[in-house]
Amino acid sequence: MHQLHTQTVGLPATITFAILAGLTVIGALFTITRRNPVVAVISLVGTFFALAGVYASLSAHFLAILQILVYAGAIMVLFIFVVMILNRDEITRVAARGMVRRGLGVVAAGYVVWLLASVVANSSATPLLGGPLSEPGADFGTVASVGASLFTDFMFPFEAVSLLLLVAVVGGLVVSRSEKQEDDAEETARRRAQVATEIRPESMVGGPTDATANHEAAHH
Amino acid sequence: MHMWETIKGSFEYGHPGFTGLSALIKIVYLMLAFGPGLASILTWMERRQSSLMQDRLGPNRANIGRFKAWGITHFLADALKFMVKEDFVPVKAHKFLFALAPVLALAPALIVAAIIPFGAPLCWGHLTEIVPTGTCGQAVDLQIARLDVGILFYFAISSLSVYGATLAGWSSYNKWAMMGGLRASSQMMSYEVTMGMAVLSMFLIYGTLEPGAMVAQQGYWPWQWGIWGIPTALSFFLFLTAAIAETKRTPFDIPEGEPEIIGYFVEYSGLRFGMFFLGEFIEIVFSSALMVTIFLGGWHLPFLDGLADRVPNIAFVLITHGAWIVKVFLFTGFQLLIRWSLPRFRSDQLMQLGWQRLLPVSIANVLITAGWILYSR
Amino acid sequence: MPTLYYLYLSFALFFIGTAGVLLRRNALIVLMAIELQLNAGNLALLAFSRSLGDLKGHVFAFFVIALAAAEAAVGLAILVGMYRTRQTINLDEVATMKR
Repeated sequence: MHQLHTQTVGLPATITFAILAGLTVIGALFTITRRNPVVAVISLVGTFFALAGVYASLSAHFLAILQILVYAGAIMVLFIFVVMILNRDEITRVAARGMVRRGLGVVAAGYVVWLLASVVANSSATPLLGGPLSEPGADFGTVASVGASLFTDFMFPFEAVSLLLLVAVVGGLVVSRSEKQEDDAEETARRRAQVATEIRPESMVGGPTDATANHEAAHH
Repeated sequence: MHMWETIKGSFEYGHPGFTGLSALIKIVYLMLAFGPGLASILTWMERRQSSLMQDRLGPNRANIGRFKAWGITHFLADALKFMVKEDFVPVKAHKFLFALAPVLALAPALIVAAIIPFGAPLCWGHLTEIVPTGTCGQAVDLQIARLDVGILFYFAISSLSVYGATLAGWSSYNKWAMMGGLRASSQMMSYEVTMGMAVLSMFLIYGTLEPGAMVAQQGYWPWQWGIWGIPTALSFFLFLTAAIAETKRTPFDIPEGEPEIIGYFVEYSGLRFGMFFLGEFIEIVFSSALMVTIFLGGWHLPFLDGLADRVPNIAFVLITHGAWIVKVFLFTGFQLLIRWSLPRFRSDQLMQLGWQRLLPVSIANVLITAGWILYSR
Repeated sequence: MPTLYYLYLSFALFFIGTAGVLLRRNALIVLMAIELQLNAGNLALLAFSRSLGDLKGHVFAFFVIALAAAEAAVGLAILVGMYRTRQTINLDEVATMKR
């Protein structure tokens, strides 16, 4: 494994990767360890920035810009909004109750990651994963090529994802309704169902007001 | 010595040092000299020209010795005032975020200048010769970065300015500031969607996201610019409205709200406030530059048609750069004029305009443009 | 840069995300740790896409980003609803269905 460093790749690329990877990991650690949620959100934004840099070094230009535009620019703003509405500092960073169980969970997760890393670092995988990379085509990872692939081979998943986003918007609205809004919505739906099924022509002798008075009286 | 050879080689085209040096010069010129310079002139115009339009005098006293010049030195006086004022940080404010918020308001405004083309390509090595368009082998684009993702970069970076407003409001430990911050960020988020949709129809027409390619596709005459045509003119007005709302200028300046309601920078003083203030004007400059690039032909002007074949390359580049500066200046003046003429929207009118009026129109605009392209090509 | 190092970074991010989900009790931090896990997956997808020269990894990562947006929106809506009824976002205190 010792042939995998600056001999296959130039020093500037190594330094760039080291800085970006370091920033990513530091940002991720800050995110999960800060007590103040706003600081955690900001460090996650920093992590996403560094990660966008890593994506750019992988020639994934479109994805790098999307990472900043969607993740850092939209999703994290949503998080910050919710943090400000809730606006509460956590009293204890990590609760003591059930600590042993959760600590063991973290150790188990670490073991799984260790297994994955050992599989990947296995000497038989080195030619595939450790060797130098071939130069990508001129339009690898550009907007045009990813877009072409998206709209031809992956048209159905694209449309499905747009439907999913619609479901998410409606679902978000419904789930976060206050009790008063839910009661109002229920009341309106009930009233509409009543009016649609129970109004009869003979009860409209005196005009619409007569009819509503009639069926209000009939149901109280 | 390796270092000296690198420095000497930086003046040859194709050497990696050349790319770095040219990028550095462009960054210093555009982001540190032109942007803040024009923004400072705009602060003076904002106060002096608006007052002349409203039949009052406005600030005209600042002077250097006996040199008054209609109060144009007010921007220097303002800068000096911001720098020497007491830097007051509220006791319970979150110190790191309080310091970070102005940076997140100013930095994105400057960084978006990286994709804006500000002149015709410079032909290195043939500066004093006549170089007809398109025949230069050693072209240096007058654009800091020629990214494939182009305008998406602008949207990505300007969506970070939302953090500036939100964090400023939250970290001040002041209920009014926080509500102002939430108002500002919800306004900016709403109009970002309309901005993206409005420019989407322009992407369909140009077929590219890269601003340099967009300018190259536009011609010298106004009917060859991006704004010509019904769906494109509609995109222009939608984008203009959304950009004005994004920079929180009147008629969308409820977040600043001076003096009726408290804005999100009420606890900021001195240079920290100066950063918000300057950041807003720099945003005006570079969003105008972007609109000039997409809709108004970039550095093209009618009388420059054919000029590339008649004058030396360096003169042509300087003339096109001058044309670009004039266009950006006129457009920023137009945005300032809008501020001096229109009253302010209420918060709910603002959100209703963004979501219920402008967004459906911009989506319909995309559909119309797509249909038109389909049938005309 | 050899793909191996990108994979190590992806594993590190995934581990940090998992530790965040398991150890923190603030529901917002847990949601953010889940976003970290999703990003670790994205990084692995893009690293392999680069080494194999195939754009399918990019398209897959695009869908992961869109899905993460939808999931964050609904998750935060649930969080707001939970705060409204239980007046807390501490996951230990909302662990049972009993009010």
